[in-house]
Amino acid sequence: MNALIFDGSKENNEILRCAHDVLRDKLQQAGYKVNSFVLRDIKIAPCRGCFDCWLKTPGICVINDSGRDTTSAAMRSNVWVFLTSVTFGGYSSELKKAVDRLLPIFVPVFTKVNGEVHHKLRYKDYPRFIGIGLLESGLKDYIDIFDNLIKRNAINFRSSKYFSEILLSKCTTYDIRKRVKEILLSVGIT
Amino acid sequence: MNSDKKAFLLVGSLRGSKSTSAFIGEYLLDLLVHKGFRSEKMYINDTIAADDKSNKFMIILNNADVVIFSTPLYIDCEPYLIIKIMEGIVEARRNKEGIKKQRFIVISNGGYPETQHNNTVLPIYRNFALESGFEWSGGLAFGMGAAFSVPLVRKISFMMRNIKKSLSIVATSILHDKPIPKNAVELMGKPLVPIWAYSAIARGIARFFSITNGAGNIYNMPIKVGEDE
Repeated sequence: MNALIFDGSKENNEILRCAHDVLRDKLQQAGYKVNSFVLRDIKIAPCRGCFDCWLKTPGICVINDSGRDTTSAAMRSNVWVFLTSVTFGGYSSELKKAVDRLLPIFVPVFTKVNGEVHHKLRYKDYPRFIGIGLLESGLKDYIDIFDNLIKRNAINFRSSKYFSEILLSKCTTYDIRKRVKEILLSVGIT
Repeated sequence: MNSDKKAFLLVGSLRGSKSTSAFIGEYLLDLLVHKGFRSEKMYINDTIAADDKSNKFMIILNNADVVIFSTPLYIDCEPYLIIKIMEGIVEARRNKEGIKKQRFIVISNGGYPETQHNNTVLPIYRNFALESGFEWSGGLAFGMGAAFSVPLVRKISFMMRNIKKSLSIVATSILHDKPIPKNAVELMGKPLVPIWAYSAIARGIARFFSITNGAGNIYNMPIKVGEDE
């Protein structure tokens, strides 16, 4: 079993680094081989919105860079974890540069999911999905937006289970360890 | 006449002048010019690709009275480069004194037919506006954004009617220094065509381009899911 961590932290943030390390350890203990990407250290070109991954080279981005590797690693994984500083309520730019390049995992044909149009999936199985955001203070509006974004992404990814979590900047290593264990349990990982 | 008022449009699509974001944003900008505004426009490519030692982007942004972002929706929220630009703007304007009153408007377009897919991203833009010291004037959103990739669609009055009405209302509200009214938001969000028609056309176009591009099977699965590399 494989797990993917997309670490979208902007700088060497203590809380997110701790969360990253704890997640990696706990996932390995649960029997997962962990592929983690500290995205600020990886050059990934922005998605051009060209649709070539649908209409010219189906399933493969025409930009031949690390964006192909992160997408490939994602689809070989049974669980995805997105780590990010909550930015205006959403993802950091570092995280989003990898997420945007996931577009090849869909096909350019629509289907209905709970009465709403979404893209059909290219592959049969899609991972469980965890989004963990760091916030300076518990602004309810930002928390609600982040929760909703994780939920909407989980619908698009057709994740069988998903979980959204906010870590506050004042939390301790003990808090992080405890929460990570609970988060993994909530998506069925023991 | 408002020749002392400036409107600045940032087109957030890397497809540049051919994009839906450019088409709709420029339509609004032209309406403002007709109402006496001076205008500036930049494409996201110019902001990130330029060796901007002169800091041209921030100078234009800070001098505008109205700032308009016209951007695509990528996987439920803003594209990467738009987030990067927004992070940079907040950083540059943090604790900066003497920033004048500026209205901020966003127009978000998504590829899915339903406008509601933009519901998560609009509050993100609102928070950006507030964090960077802009006055949030509101956000417009619409689905079926890919339809405007077809030049013919842009010329069909019937399909453009609600968008044109909406942007006309928005331009007037900007002129009178007011936020975007609810009716403009509702008009913009109305579908161009029935959803079933859009879905069918999208499927046909996908088939057509995949054949003409020699793409083969659009359901191709190049990644061996479940296997290590």
